[in-house]
Amino acid sequence: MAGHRVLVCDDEPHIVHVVAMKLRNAGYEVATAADGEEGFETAKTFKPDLVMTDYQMPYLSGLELCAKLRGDAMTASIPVIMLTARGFSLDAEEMKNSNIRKILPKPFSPREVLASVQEILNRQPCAPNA
Amino acid sequence: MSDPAVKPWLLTDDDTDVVSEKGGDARSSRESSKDHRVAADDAMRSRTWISYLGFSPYWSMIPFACAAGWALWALFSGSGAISRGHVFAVVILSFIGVGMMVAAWVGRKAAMSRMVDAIQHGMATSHDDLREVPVSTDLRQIWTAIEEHAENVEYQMRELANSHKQISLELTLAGAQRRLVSGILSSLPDPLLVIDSYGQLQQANRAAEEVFGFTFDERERPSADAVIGMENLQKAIRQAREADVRAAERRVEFEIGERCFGAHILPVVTSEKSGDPSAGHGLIVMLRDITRDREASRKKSEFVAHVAHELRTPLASIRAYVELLVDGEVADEKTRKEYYDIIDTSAERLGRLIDNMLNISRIEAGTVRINKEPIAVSMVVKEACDVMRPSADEKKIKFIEQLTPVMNRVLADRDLLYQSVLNLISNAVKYTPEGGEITVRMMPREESQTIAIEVQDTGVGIPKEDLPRMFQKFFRVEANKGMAKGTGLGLNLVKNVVETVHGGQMTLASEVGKGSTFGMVLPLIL
Repeated sequence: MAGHRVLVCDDEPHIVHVVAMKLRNAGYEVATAADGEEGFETAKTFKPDLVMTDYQMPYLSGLELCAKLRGDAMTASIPVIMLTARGFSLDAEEMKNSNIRKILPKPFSPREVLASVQEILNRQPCAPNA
Repeated sequence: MSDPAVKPWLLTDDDTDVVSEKGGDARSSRESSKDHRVAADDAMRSRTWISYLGFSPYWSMIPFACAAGWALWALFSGSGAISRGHVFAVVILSFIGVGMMVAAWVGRKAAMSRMVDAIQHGMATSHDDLREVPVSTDLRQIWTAIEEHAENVEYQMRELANSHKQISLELTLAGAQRRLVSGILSSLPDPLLVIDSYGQLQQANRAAEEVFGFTFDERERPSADAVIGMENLQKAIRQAREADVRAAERRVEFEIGERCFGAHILPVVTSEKSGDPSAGHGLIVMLRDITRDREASRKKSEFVAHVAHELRTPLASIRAYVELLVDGEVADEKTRKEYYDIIDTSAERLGRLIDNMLNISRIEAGTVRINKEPIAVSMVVKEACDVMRPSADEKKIKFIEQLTPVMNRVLADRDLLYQSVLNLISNAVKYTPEGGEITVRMMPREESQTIAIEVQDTGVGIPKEDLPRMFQKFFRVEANKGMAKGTGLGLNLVKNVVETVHGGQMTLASEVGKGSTFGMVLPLIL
C-alpha cells in the first residue's frame, strides 16, 4: 500500500489540506493542486497512481481534467475519484469512459475518502515508475 | 254584407264558417282579415248589373214547370179544346224559363270568368280580391273551398314570412356572433387552433398562423396534421380526438426553433348529440410560449444547485476537520488550534452565506423590513470607514477619506446602507495588495440632486469581460478567487439595497492591475 502516489486537486485549500493529511497519515505520497490546469501539469510530472479531484474548479473542471488525463498517453490509465458539492452523477458507461471510479459527494468523511482510495489502489500494483 | 237574402250568391262571413277548425292561430288570422272584408264589401256594391245574373240555372226550372203544369191543367180540365189564352200563357212561361236559363248561363259565365280572374290575380297578391267577386249559390261551395284554401295559403305565407324574418335575423346575429368570436380569437396573444372531429382545422388565430407559418383560409379547411409539423403534438391531437370526450384532455410541450410551447388540448362538444359519447368531438389547442418559463426554471434550478454547492463547501470542511480531530489524527496542539479555527471560519462562512441569501431573497420578494428615515450620509460612511480602517492598516493600505459635510441627507434604511458601504470597503481591502491605496469619497451632484459614494482601490482589478456579471449572484472573478474568501453574494446584496430598496444606482469602473471603483448614487433629500 505504501508508496502509492495520490494527487489531490481542489480549489478549496482546506479540503485539499484535510484530504492530503488523511492520506499522508495512511502512508501515501501526496501532491496537491488548486485547479484543473495545475492538476494536469502536476499529474504529468508527479505520475500519481490515483487522482482525487473536485468537480467544480476554476480554469478546468474535474470532468475536463479527466478528459485531459485520458487524452495524454502518460496519464491515460490513472483512476479518478471525483469529489463534488453539486448533485452530480454519471451512469456506468460514462464512468468507464472517463476513468472515474467513484463519486464522493461533499460533505464527505475523510475515513470514507481513505477507504475509497485503498479500495481502488489495492486492486492494482504500484506503478513501475513509483 | 248586411242582407244575404238580397244577394244570396254572395259570400258572407257566415258562409266561411264551414272552414274546419284549425286551432287558435288560424282563427285569429281569420279575425284579423275581417277588416279587409268590410272594405271589400263596399267595393262590391258598385258591381255592374251583370253581377246579379249569376244565379243557379235551376231557378229557370220554375217557369218551365209552371208552363208544363199549365199545359196539363189546360188539357185535362175537361173543356177538350185548348184556348189561345192557355197556349199564350204556356208559351210566355216557357219564354220566361228560357230567358232565365240564358240569364243564369250568362251570369254564371261572367261570375266564373271573374272567379278565374280573381283567383289568378288573387293568388298572386291577396285573397281579399276574391271577396269582391259575386258568386251564385251553387258556386258557393267551390268558392268557399277556394277561399278556405286561399286563407290557408295566406296564413302559411304569413308564417313563412315570419319565419323568414326570424331566420334572417338569426343569420345576422349568427354572423355578428361569428365575427365577434373570430375577432376575440384573433386578438388573443396566445396561439389557438380549433380542430373539428374529422381532424380538419376549423379556426386558427393570428398568433397560431405566425407560430406554424401558414395562412388560415376558412373555405379550405386544411387538415391539422398538414399545418402542425411537430410529431408529438400531432400524436397528442390524434389521441385526443380518438379518446372518449371525458378523457380527451392532453398537455404536451414542443419546440419551434428557439421557442418552447406548451400545448393544452381540450375537447369541444359542438354536435347536437352532446350526450352521445360516440359522437365525435372537436378540439381546442391552446398554446403558450413557455420559453421564458423554461429559462426561468432552468435558472432557478441552476441557482439551487449553486446554493447547494456553496453551502456544502464550508460544510465539507467542518465535517472533515471534526472527523480528523475526533479520530485523534492530529498530534500537536498548534495544528489542533489551527483546525478549530478552520471549523470556526467555515461555520461563520456558512452563517454569513445563509444571512446574505435570506437578505437577498427578502429584498427580491419585497418582504424585507425597511425603516427608511432621513439620515446623514457622511455619518454612515464615516462609521463604515472607522470599522474597516484597522483591516486596511493591517495590510499597510493607505486609507483616504474624502467626505462631505453632514447636511447631505438621504431617505434610507440606516442598517442596510451601512452594510452596503461596509461591503464595498471590505471588498476593496480584500482585493488590494499590501501597500495599496483605498479612497472613500462622497460627491454631491447639484444638478441631479443625488450623491455619489465611491470606493476606489488600487487592487487587482476586474477583467473587462467579467464587469457585466459582477453583481450577479455567486459570481466571482476566477483569477481573483485566491485573494480572498467570499460568498459571491455581497455585491448582489449591495446592488439590491441600492437599486431596489433605495431607488439608486450602482456604478463600476475597473482595469486589471490598476484597481476598481465601485460607486452608489443615491437621491438626496432637499
